[in-house]
Amino acid sequence: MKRAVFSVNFGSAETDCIPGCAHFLEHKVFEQKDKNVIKEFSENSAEVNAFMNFNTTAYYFTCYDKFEENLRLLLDFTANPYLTEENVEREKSIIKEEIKMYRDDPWWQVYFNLLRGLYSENPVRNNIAGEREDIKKIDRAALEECYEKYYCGENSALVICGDAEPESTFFLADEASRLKRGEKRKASPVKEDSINKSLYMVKMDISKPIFNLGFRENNFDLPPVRRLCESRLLLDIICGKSSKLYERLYLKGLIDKDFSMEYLLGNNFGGAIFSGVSDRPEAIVGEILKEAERHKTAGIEEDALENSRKKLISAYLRGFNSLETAAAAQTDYAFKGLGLEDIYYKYRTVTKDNIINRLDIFSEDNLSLSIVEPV
Amino acid sequence: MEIVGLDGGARVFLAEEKKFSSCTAAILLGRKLKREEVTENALLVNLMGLGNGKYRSPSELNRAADRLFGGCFDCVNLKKGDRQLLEFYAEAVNEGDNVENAIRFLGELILNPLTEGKGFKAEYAEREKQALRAEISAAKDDKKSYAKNRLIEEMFKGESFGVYGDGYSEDIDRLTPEGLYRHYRDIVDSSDVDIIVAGNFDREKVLEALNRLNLKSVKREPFEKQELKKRKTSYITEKMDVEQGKLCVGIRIQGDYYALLAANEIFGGGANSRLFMKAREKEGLCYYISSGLVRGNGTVIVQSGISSENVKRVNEIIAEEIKGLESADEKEIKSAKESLIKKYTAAEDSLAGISEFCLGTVLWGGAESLNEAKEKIRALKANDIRQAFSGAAADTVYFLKEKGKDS
Repeated sequence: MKRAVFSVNFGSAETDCIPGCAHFLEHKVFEQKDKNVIKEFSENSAEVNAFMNFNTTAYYFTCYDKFEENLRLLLDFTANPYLTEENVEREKSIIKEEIKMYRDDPWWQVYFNLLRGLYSENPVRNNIAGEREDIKKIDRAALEECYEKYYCGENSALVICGDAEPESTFFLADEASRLKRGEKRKASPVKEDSINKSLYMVKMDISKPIFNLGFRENNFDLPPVRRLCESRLLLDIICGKSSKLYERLYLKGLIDKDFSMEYLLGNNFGGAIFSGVSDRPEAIVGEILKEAERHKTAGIEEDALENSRKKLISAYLRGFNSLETAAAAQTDYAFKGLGLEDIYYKYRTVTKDNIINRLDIFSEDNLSLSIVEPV
Repeated sequence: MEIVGLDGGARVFLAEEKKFSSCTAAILLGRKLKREEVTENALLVNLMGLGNGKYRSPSELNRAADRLFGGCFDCVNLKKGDRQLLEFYAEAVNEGDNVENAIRFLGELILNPLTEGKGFKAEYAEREKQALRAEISAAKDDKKSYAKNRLIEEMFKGESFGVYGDGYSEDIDRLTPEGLYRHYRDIVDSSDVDIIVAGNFDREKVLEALNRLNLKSVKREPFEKQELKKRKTSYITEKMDVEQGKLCVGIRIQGDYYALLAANEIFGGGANSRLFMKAREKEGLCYYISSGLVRGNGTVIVQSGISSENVKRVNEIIAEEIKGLESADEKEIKSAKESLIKKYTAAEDSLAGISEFCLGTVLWGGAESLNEAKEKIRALKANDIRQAFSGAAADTVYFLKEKGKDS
């Protein structure tokens, strides 16, 4: 199989357009003057779809046959959207339903409330699809302006995974690319931005409180690969399934089996995020801060680091067993100046001191707790 | 792919693929899904994942797993058709003794539980009772899947498939560490055992490690034969505090699995399907609408998020498109077949895909390799696909309605 992902460095965290524009465009780029893109891919035994996040909008297909035709089709339709007043208006009812779907999803709510708590200004706090009022304001002209600005060769990436022959594919992509030239998007400067709310609570029709707890990254001088690998190792050591803290939290009934954590890596945002179900999320905050303090003084055990290293390298290698995982990861890293292979080498060389330095983000005035409570 | 019998009666499904770096191993203890024991089984599988006789706490157990094979394992309660499976699963990069270590580790989880006196460790049993209670009540939190579970419960009342796979709150209190241990003994002695190993491994070493576990397996009970009961559509509406209603429609159909798969592809299988094209692209009624085939009992379930005022129209579209399949054109038939062949081809490239396919074959028979499955799809006649939904109609329509809407 082969998977191709075409992406542009343009997502929901954008300041100079109406929130929701990038997502609206993601829907409308499929619209073509004289063809039905979904049908054409389907007739080539391929499936096409799109996804987006804070900084990226990506269009992709997977196929086992007719790769060349499909790749041409992908590069062609993303370069030629057909927007009319009428088809933009019609999309609004679909996007309205999509927004409603997210509003019914407590995990979606708790996550975006966390980002709203962690940041006062940074546009990472925008809802991916925008708000209903934003959607009303979006029209053909607004979408075209964004498209012109961000959908250009300098601002895009193509990731191909699977059994494609590299050299000929490179020539094919170069020849088939229809995007015009433009200006590479400049990295937005990191603004001074205080924590907006240390506690963000809403109520929904659920059975037990759910929470997202975030500790904010404030140091963007380190290369992204170091931020990512060192933080992931640190998180696993202090609160991974093999840790004493995890065991204590679980046996006390403070967390459930679906407790998880991740390091969010953005060019000008990021941090450690813990997520789970709990009757007493505040107690978890205290436990995590205490454990971080303990490590600041006691250091990191050699054994714990080596176990975590083995686990994370193994998880990294397993990622290559899926085209989808590998392609999505490389797409995400493309605009962060990171290659998949960098991560492997970094995992192998992280030292105890590197990790101890990452403990700085764990402090009481650098966190936000988002909770969705039962009505 | 190859099926090998072990000494104790367990079957091993081996899918060796050297292109992967790692290998997954799943040991499945299969039971008939029964209201009387579903709760106990659900609890047990989680309890067994907290520790065993050798590694006596969660942190010890997980540290051992990290060290022995890179740490990826889980114990999962699965509902498949009218069967409950207790799954013990691990994945390891094939380096050194990782794979054999992982298999031994799974064996210890199953055969050497953490006991105290005549029962499981009481503290852990109590903790898992609390966790299961929370999990069962949390099923309401995800409205999409809640609506689907409610549909299945209503549509299959009195049948095994209608039993709720995570168990029932009211059955938790009476569980004791001793009772759980007696039930555990019974499980080890009276389940049918299937093992699926996929990816990069050494066949001889894996079989030797598995044989050494000495797992006992009983003969499996056949699946319940579903009767195709024709009945008037029943409509169920419940209200909840949601912004968007969740519609779930169950359709009973019987026939050749592969023909049903292809027909479902055209009906509501993806973005190119009739339901999607009509309800979303043409009429703008929803953001998502799709249908899926429940293997083993010939049920198609349609799911969509819509406003109350559109329920009638979406139900009409569903009825129109069930009938409309009879006139599916050559292009649609061809792309449905290709889409399925593509799915099987994609499965070859992922360990999860291969394991999922093996599990289907373990449970329901059918093609024994992905290539055979593709052949079965290629061999389908256009008319068999067109006729697959013939005479079918909605059996049960479940709608989770937005509170505050009365129309």
